[in-house]
Amino acid sequence: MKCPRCVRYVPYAAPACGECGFSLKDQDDQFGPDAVCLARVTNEQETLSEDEIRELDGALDEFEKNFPQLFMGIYLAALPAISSVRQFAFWLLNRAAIPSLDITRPNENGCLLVIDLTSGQVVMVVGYLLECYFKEAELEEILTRGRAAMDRGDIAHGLLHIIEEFSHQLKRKSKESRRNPRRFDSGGPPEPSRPEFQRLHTPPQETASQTDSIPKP
Amino acid sequence: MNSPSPASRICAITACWVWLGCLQLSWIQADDVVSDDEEGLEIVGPMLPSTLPHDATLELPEWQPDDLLQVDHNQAPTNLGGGLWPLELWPLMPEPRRLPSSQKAGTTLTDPIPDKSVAKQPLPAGLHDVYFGAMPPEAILDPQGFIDEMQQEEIGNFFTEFARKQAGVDVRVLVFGPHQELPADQALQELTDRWYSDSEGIVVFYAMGLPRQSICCFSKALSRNFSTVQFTAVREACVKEAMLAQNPNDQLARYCIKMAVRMNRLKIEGPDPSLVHEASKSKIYPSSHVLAWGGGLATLGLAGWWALRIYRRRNPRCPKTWLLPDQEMTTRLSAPHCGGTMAILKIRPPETSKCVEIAVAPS
Repeated sequence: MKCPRCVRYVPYAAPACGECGFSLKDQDDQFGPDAVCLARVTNEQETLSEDEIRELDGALDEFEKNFPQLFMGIYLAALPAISSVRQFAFWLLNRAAIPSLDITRPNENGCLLVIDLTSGQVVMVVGYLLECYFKEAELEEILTRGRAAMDRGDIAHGLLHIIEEFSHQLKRKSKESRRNPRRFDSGGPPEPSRPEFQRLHTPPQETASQTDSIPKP
Repeated sequence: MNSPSPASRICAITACWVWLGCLQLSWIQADDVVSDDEEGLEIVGPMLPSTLPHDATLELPEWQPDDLLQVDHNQAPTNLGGGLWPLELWPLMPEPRRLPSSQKAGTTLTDPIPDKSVAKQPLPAGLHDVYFGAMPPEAILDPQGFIDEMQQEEIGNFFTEFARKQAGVDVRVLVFGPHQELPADQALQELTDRWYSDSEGIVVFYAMGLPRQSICCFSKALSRNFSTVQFTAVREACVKEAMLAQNPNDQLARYCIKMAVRMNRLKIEGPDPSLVHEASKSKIYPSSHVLAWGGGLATLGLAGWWALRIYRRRNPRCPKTWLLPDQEMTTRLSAPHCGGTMAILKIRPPETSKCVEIAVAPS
C-alpha cells in the first residue's frame, strides 16, 4: 500500500498520504470527481483491431464467469506526458463506471489494466478486496507474463496472457482461502500497543539503622 | 687377639657354603622320600640363581604341520604333544569317531540298503490319525514316546530359532518305530502338500534308529524355489550327521539340528538360478496380462478425466466458479474503491501513438 504519488508507505485507513498529503481529492481536482463511463475494453487510440477486442471480450467473459464477484477492465490510451499513470489508474478505478457489469461487482472487487501508449507503461491496479490477496510483487509477476508479446507490439496477446495468469493465480488464492480462511484476512486496524510503564519513584533504600534494628536471635 | 689369615677366611666361607648345600639337600630329600621310592623321580639339587636365565630360554613344544592336518580332518585328537602334561592336569582327548566302515569305501548315503529280512510292523492302533490327521502344533510328534519331553522341547526350540524365524521354513518331524510300516511316498508327499499348501515347510518321517530310512518331504512352495539336487544334498547331510552318533536319540537330535542348519543355509544361498529363470518365464503371461489391463484402465480414466475437463470448460451450463471470502475493507486516501495497490510494467511503446484528452476537470 504505497502512495501513488510519492510511492511511500501509506498507513492503514489514512485519509491522505502522511508524506505528501496525496488523496483522491487531488486527482478529482485534476480529472474530475464524477464517475466516468467506460467499456470493459476501452480502445481510445484504436490500437486494437475488432477481432482483438472480440477476443479480449471473450477472455473477460470467461473471467467473469469463473469469478462471479470480480471483474477486469482494460483502458488503452495515449495519456498526456505530464500525467502520472499511477495516479491516473488510481483515480480511474475509483471513478470508473462500467455499465455492462452488474451490481454484484463493485469497483473494489475489480482490477483495471491501464496501458499508456505514450510512456509505454502498463499499470495493473486492484480494488480493496483483491489487495487482500495480492501483494504488489505478485501483481508485477502477473504483468511480466505479457511483457514479451507487448514488447513485440502485440498488445492484445500480452493482455490475454495477463488475464490468463491473473485467473490462474486467483484460482489458487481461492483454493488457499477455502483451506485457510484467515490467511488472507485484511487484519483490520492495528491493535494499540501496550503502554509502557515507567517507574517514577525509586523505592527507598534500607538504611543501616533499619538493618540494625532487627533483633538478633 | 690375632686376626685370622685370608686363607683361613676362604676356607671358612667354603665350608659354610658346603654345609648349607648339604642342609637344603637333606630337606628336599626328606620331603620327597616317599615319592622317590614309588615314582623313581630324579633327585635334583636346589635351584641356584645362575640357572634361571637358562630355564627361561628353553623352547616349548610346537604343533607340527602333520599333526595339525590330522586334527583338522578329525583324524587325531587334540592332544598337546601326546601327553606332555601329567594326566591329572591335562587328560588325553579321546580318539575321534569314525563313520561305519560301509560308508568309507566310496559308498554314498543315498545308496539303498535293503533289509528284507526284517518284516515291517504296522502302526499301533489309533495312531494313524494322530500321525496323518491334522498338522500337529509341535515340531516333534512322538506319540509312541521314543524320546523324552526335554529332548522334544530342545529340538523344537532349535527348529523355531533356525528354521522358522531365520529361514521362514516350518518343520514337522514325525517319529516312528524302527521297522514300522509307512504309507507310500506319494501319500506322504500329499500329506506334506496338505499341511503346507501355500507355505514353505518340511515333513520328516523319521524311523527311530534308522536315519537312512527316514523320508523327508518338501512342500510345493519350497520346490518352486529350490531344485531336487539341493534337497538331496540336505537329505544326505542330515543322514550323514545322524550316522555319526550311535544312540538313536542322539541320531534324531543330530538329524534335526542338521536339518534346521541346512534350511538356514539353503535360504542364505538362495534359490536355484535355473528355477528362478523358469519361474519368471512362466509368469510373463499373467504379469503382462495384468499390466495390459491396468494400463488400459488407466488410459481410459485419463481420457475420461480429460474429456470431462474439456466439457466443463466449453459447456456454459456447468461453469466452474471460484469465490473469494469477503473481507472487512477500510478505505484510505479518501478513495472509496481502490487504495492504490498496483504494479507497473515498462514496455516498448508502439510507434503510432498520439495523445488524447482523457478527462476534463470540472471548472
